[in-house]
Amino acid sequence: MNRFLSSMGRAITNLRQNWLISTITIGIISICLFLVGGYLLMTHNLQGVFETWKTQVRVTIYLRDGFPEEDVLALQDRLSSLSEVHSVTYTSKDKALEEFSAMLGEDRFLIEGLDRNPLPSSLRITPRDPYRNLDGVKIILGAIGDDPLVQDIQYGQDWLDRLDRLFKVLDLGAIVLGLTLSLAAVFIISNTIKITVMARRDELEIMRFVGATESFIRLPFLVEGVIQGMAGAILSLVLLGGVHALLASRSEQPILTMLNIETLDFLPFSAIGAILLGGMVLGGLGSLASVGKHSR
Amino acid sequence: MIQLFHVSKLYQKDIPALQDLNLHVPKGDFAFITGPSGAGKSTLLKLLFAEEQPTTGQILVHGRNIARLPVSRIHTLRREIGIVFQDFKLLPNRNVFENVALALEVLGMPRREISRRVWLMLKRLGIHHKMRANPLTLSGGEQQRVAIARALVNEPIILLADEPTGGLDAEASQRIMDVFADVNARGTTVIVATHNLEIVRTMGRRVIHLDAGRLVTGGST
Repeated sequence: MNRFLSSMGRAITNLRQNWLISTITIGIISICLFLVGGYLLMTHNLQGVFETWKTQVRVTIYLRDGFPEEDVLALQDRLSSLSEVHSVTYTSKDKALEEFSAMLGEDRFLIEGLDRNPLPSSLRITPRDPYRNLDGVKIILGAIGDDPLVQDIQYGQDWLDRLDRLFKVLDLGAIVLGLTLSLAAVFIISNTIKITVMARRDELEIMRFVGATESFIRLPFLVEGVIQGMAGAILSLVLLGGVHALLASRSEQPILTMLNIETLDFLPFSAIGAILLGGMVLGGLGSLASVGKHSR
Repeated sequence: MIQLFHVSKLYQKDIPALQDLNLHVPKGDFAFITGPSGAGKSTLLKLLFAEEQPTTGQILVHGRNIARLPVSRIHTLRREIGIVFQDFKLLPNRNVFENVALALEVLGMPRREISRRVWLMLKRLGIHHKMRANPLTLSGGEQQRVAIARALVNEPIILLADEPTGGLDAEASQRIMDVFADVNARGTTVIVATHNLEIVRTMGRRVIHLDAGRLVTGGST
């Protein structure tokens, strides 16, 4: 404990004595983590948009006329019991006409005076969350099978196909971009710390000449690196908070409106924790790796 | 005390810095290492404080073979040896007191004891009145006395000095030598590598003369 406290004291003294280079290191760490955090902020908010899109995945079965309602309800029960299905809503012919009429509004005169209701009754199936994609819909279609009640099935095949491809591209892009940004951050931060260690190689050399152990030399550098990493992470979060507040205060921006984003969320606690921890680990390991190269 | 048996050091293949060196320096001795540039004086000192390892041969310091000392144990040897360099190697971001205190901080000594010992050492070397000064504001002779204070403050049994009077005037050089003589009189073994033959003559101590990595004279007392 004493040794740790003494290392802590020496680390703080070193930070004070080398304040300029420490400030530069903290600045560079914060810029790197700001970029990573900005990327996380963007994906976090877009995730909400994607979820909204996914809830719009539906399968609508249009039913033949002339079957008794019990048969329709039996089909509804059978489909509701499927593990892939969240809910099945029945819309009768009358209800469909009512909804269509409401949709036409002032133009409802177009359908007035029809001698019979031309709209079919339907069952609208909402899949459960993991099945709100093309593969899930295909499973549900298989379960419907060749039922005599079914006249037609609609599920926006083209749209769903494109959405599926878009999600696959975005998933891959997220991994590639995330990895690239993180690797760039690791590279830049470890090189910056290397420069700070190089600037103090005389100190390292003298400490070794007067009989310091490796742990005595490394511990303050480790503590310093962790402190710098944490300070950089906090600074990057403050910057991200500022940018977020600025964007959130202008919620009528065309890009947000287009994506149907009403409220811009800040990073979740897990991401804030990851940035703080990432900063400390990067700072600490970067320092240790750099000091190690000057051994003996 | 210090014994070298058939020690050779090659930095590059076929270019030996030291060749088949046999040397004995008893406890409490005061010896100069002399010779022209490239004779191997600095290499010999580096071998003694394990900055370099010999290519062949054995080196005993206090009965311990340091020729194959693992890196993790080098600090134990260096705590028994004080080292002084021509360029002083003082840290410009620490004052005189803090530079000397560094040698005791690495031992984990309590702060109060560090303060007492550093003060006494600076007083002994006559630079206590400059203890809050930045080393860069001192004269060459004063800076070297700070470096000697750092080398001596943990009471080493051996003091090694590599060209300690290089760049100093005659008066400052003599003052440094007086300090070494005093340290030696208190029982510390002193080995000084130097070009300064005037100082060597004045001091009248043992001379180990090297030329082209070979021992010419002074291998044993």
